[in-house]
Amino acid sequence: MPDNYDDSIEIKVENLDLWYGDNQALYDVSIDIPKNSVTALIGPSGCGKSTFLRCLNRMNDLVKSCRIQGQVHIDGQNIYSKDIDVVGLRKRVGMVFQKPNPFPMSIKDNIAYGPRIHGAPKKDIDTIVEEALRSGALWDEVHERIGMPALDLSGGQQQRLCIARTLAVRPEVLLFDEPCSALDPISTAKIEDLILQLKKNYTIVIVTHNMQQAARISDYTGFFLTGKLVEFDRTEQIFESPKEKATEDYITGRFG
Amino acid sequence: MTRTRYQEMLDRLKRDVIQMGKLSQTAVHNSVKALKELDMELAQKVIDEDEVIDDCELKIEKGVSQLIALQNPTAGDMRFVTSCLKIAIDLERMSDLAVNIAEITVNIEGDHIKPLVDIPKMADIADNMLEQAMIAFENNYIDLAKATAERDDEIDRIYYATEKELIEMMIDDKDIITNASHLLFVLRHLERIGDHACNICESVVYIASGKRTDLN
Ligand SMILES: Nc1ncnc2c1ncn2[C@@H]1O[C@H](COP(=O)(O)OP(=O)(O)OP(=O)(O)O)[C@@H](O)[C@H]1O
Ligand SMILES: [Mg+2]
Repeated sequence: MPDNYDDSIEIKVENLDLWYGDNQALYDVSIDIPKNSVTALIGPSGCGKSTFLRCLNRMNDLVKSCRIQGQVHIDGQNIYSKDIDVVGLRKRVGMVFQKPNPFPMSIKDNIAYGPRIHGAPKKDIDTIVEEALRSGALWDEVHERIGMPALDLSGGQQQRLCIARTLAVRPEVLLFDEPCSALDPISTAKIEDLILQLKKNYTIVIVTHNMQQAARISDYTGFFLTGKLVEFDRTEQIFESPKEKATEDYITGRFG
Repeated sequence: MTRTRYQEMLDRLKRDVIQMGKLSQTAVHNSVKALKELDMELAQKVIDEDEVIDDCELKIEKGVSQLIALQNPTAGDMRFVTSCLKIAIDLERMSDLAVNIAEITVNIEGDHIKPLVDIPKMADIADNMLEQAMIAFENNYIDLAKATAERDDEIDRIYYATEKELIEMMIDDKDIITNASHLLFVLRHLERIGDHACNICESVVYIASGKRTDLN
């Protein structure tokens, strides 16, 4: 673990192994992710970043062949224990994907969808929608037309809508899986600013193929290779003096 | 191996720094040789050739900027690239100091006030430190860099002893004040050259290990 590691831990993963059928995709991964920080996960395609991310809100439960061993604690609670409410967990641990995936409904209904399911009173909906759109840095651009179809927004706006939608149910942890890979540099910069804003109130884990993005926005960086967490440290440390040669080879682009 | 163009740029930068190191070393060496032998022609040559060294520094600066702008060097590469810029600055200062020594030689009137022994000895050490520092740079030798920096103590010792001696000579004989104070400057310049060699050693340690050290 990194030096000066005194922040309080939000996500604690211990000796996590994961198989898809007979294929092991994660090997003995242990990692402590501090509260209110941004952690970037990097590594070559197929190394298990998305698989790992999905373990943090049990999205892998949806994959039939998937089997997991090890422990994941979020805010002190073992999320794989029998009595956990998985729907409640996914509310606490929100996820934003590579491709913006708004529901085919209005901007407002996209945001209100989650809170309605979780039983938010009708009179609160407008406030929740405005708050979420503001937190998602989209309010100024759309507040005059929140009744319009979400699919009419630009790609970058759709992605911020998806972030706002995730925020609307007030999670603790935000998982991003390559959230900017379909976006232009300006939309990317907006999302990056937004992520830096959000870390005041959330713990964020982001998978990215953009090394400079990891360097720009994260406090901690983890490097995965063939299902193993090779190195995890403060981002400055990883990009200035990584301890492992494999990490150095990867971030300097000398891989393979 | 991927990123061929990137590797080429890094290799070229390294070659340029090594080349600049050789030129600076020659300047330091010749400046003291010219002083010792009161060889005005050689002193003038040191002064004239400084331009070439300045050009080298510019070339390195350009190489560093291009690497940063185009290739996003990180980790060991980043340490190498930023350190090349620092080393180039140290080398440029060293050759400026050699020029200062050469200018003093040009201005010295008559013979030396005493046979020069300590100054050439100091210069030998400084010269040698620079050479070793550049070998350490070329090969990422951390131990050599550290050992080289330690020799700065010898330079400092000679510096203080000789400074005292010169001051005592000036007190005894006012006629030599001009030439003796020239030599005091030479001492000071050589001491600074030793410091710059130490800086280069620190850069080598940083490049090779990521650790920032104070070897002075
Ligand atoms: N649903 C699944 N069923 C079976 N195998 C899977 C499944 N999802 C992922 N895998 C396998 O697990 C390994 C890790 O995949 P994963 O998607 O986690 O990689 P990744 O690091 O996110 O890659 P990328 O950067 O390309 O998104 C791969 O070998 C992949 O083929
Ligand atoms: Mg993935």
